[in-house]
Amino acid sequence: MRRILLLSCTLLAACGGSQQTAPPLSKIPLPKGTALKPYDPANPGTAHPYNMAAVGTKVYVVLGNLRADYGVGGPGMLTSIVPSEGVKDVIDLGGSDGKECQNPGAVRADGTKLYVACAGDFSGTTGRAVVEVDSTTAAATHTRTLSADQAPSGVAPAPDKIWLGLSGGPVLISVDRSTFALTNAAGTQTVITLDCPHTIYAYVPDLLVVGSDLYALCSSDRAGVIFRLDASTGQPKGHATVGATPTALAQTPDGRIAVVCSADNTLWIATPGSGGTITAQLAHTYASGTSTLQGVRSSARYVFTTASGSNTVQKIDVSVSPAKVVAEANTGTGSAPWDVLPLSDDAAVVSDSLSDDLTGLTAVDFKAASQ
Amino acid sequence: MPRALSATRRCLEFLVALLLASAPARGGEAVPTGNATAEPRPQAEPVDVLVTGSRASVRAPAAEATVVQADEFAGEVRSVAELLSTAPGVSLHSLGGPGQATTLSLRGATADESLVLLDGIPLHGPGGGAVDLETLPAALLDRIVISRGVLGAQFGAGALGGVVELVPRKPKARSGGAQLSVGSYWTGQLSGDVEFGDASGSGLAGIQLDTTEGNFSYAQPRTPEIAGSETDLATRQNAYARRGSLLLRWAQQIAADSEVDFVLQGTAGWRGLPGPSSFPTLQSRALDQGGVLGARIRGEADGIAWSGRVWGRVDRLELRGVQIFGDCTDGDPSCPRSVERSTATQAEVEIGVPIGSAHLLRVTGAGGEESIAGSPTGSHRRGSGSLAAIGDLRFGRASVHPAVRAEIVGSQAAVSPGIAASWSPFAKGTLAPLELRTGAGLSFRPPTLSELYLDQGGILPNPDLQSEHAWSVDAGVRWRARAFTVSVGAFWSRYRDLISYELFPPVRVKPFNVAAARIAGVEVQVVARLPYALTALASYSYLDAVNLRPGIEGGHHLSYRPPHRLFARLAHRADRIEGYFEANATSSMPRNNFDTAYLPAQLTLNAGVGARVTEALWLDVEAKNLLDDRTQQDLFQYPLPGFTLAAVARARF
Repeated sequence: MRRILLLSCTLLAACGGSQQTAPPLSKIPLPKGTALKPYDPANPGTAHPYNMAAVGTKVYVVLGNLRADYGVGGPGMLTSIVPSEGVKDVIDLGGSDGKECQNPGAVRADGTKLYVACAGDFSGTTGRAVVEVDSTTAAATHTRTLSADQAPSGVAPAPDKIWLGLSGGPVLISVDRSTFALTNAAGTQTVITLDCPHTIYAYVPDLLVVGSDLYALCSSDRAGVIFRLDASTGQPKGHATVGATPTALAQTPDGRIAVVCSADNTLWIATPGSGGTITAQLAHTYASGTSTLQGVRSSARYVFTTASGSNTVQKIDVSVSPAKVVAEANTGTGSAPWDVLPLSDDAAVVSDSLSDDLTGLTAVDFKAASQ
Repeated sequence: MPRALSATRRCLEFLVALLLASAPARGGEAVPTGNATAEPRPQAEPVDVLVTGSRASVRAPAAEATVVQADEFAGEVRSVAELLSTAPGVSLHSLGGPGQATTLSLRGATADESLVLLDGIPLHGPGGGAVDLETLPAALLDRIVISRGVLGAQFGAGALGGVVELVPRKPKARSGGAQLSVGSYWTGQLSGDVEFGDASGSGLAGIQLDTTEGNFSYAQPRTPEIAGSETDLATRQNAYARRGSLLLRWAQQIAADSEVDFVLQGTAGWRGLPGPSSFPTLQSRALDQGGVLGARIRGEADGIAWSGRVWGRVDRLELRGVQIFGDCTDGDPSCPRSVERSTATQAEVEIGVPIGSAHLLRVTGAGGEESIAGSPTGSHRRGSGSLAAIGDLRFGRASVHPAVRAEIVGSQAAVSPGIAASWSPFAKGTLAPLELRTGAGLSFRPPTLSELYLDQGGILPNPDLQSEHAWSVDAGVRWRARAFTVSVGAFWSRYRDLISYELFPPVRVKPFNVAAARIAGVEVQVVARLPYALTALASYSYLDAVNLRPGIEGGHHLSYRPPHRLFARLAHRADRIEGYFEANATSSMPRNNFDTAYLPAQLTLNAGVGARVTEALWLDVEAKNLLDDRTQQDLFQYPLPGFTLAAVARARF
């Protein structure tokens, strides 16, 4: 009997569970005004939602809380939503002075914990931090502030540490997960500099931990590279060239790594090999009307990507070569979709970075490609 | 904000919009420095309607050039950009419909790598290099001379792709005229001029007023990845534009062999900045004012021609509701207005010394200062000076035109050499119309004050920038007969130390001297006089613009350079009836620097017909984009208008 029950649950899960999940609202308004705790009530910020992560049935969205001039309008925020209902919690990440975490952009979940990377005030030196949030209490539990030259642009939790990719160079640093300190017991800080060709700039736009591997992207004026590293020590294992200006990466349904590249409009699939190697192949070149790729995530069967310049979301089958866009949705003029979080193979939530809300997409919103 | 880094493109879009918007509000009516001094009244008057000829520009007589006579387009609603589009080697980019910023590219160079002169006065503002052609009053022009190639020796720093000389109308007799046009999306233009004077002096006063709502409809696919995608039909908003331009000039004979002339040109306008179609900006607008005042005295003594000129230019630009990403509400604390003011002054002297009976040496010296001041930029100024020698050497049916210019702009100094030659091998006979020509040049473009000092939002300055450098060679053959002119030429150019805006993490961009390019091409132009008062014109340009920058961009084509462009026109002008039909075809061109995204090929058909209804009055009707293609776009997803209709009335008295 127990086996039959387990089998039933497995089958339901394999089917995506879409019949069990209520469809998302088509538009989910995000907090605004005083809910964003503006430093200056006469000059408040707006939500500016960026990355998302799921814990249980809730979707967590980081809010940049930025003003029109892209100055910080208030403390960094994390909000939880139930896609079919709307906003549930608004979590202040700013700490006691409201400035420990500003302009958050990246978030990843691990169990019931969420880890948010705060890029800080572009025009100042405050607000660089990584914050741990307990989803069960909807509160920040740890904050590690960072120096002005260590603005994080990506975050990835590993079993014993939190990896951060920096925006100022091809550099990874880590925070001890138990002590939330930048240094280990021996008092030394782990700083990994990626061997990423560059002349003018290089940065780490996104990170991901899969099993014992840490994957890090490097985007520079001369190359786009995905690195495979040891998730515990940060030691490089291998690397592979991808397209120009890689922006995000995600694990595909079949265990590979999908990378979207905004400058050359491409999707790459990286395949981990034995002995720590990694190779990457061009999987899809987007249509000329698609522009400024930003996010990539996977459902049980498909890879979803966002393109903020064309206000579009693509559903892609990467199990075939070359990858095939099976459906696409438009989130509306002026939305600038940033991140996508699939709720199933047919539904997703999209963070609209410039219209300050979330878009819920269902099967009817996706225009299917002809077979 | 992790992937804000990948939003560099948006930042660059803003930068382009800003630089275009900050192009100086045009002014400028003066007397060409080089024109009159070498020879008394050495006007480069073209013989043909459109000429590829060795006398197109006095400063660069053997350069590959095209002359566009404005009056050949009388009765048509033509902007300066539309007049330029008839020439080979020219590509134009527009941020929307009428009245919106439009810039020029010559031989694949960027807009700030080509000079635009209004009667000899450079219009490039100190703040930004690109000249917005939409701020120039086409109705007040006599002709446009487009000289192509690296021509820094002849014209000064910045002439890497070539030079566009706008020649304003000159008073010819006591007369006057007016033209009124009204068209689609409430686009209208009123222009008029009065010419007056007597035996000792003559003057001209002209005015041009433009207005448009710019609310055209356009289509864009909802889901570009899906074949046969539905399209959204939308109406362009916040694309209105208003502009007024004034031209005054006066020439006075002060002695038997000398005269003085003055010129004043001013313009003022305001317009909405509608943004890309994917993210319209409904609250952004730009207001600009500018003017040029120039005075020149010229004459001849003992066979030596001389001239002296001073000019000054003032521009002001104000941006409201403009942000890096999108727009904002003007008046909000986080939405400050941006104001830039720029000035430029210069004094020039030139003498032309005959050498023997066939040669001429012209020596020019100039010095001046430019400045910029504004809320995002601060106050900066720099001086400039140049000394140039240009020779016109004639050996029978051949002519050689060596030139060299030593120039300093701020801290940047360079010597620009150049040479051009032409040869007509046959004096008589069937092959007499044949002419061969060649040229070469090396020059530089100093960084603009904007590139050095503009600090606004996501755009950082770089005070350490150095000059861009380029060289080119070209050669061509020309057949120039009474009824038929054909010109075929090819060029090869190399650019290095190009200034490129690069990401400056976390989210800003900053200019660096990191890029390089090779640009080669072929230019063809044909003009034929046909029976029944018909004139046929065709111009074709082939461009191969390759990025030589090390790294991932290297080897790919430069974005927004169309490999093929063809313009063809058939016009009829008679005593009672006039009309034209033209086609403008542009091939697909790269939209990024990786050859992975393209602007689709575009074909635009235009036609017009008119009749003389009284002795002085003509009435015309004109239709543009006859195919009503509403999917056309230009830079950064800015849509272009579909079918438009205009009625034009003009009179001369």
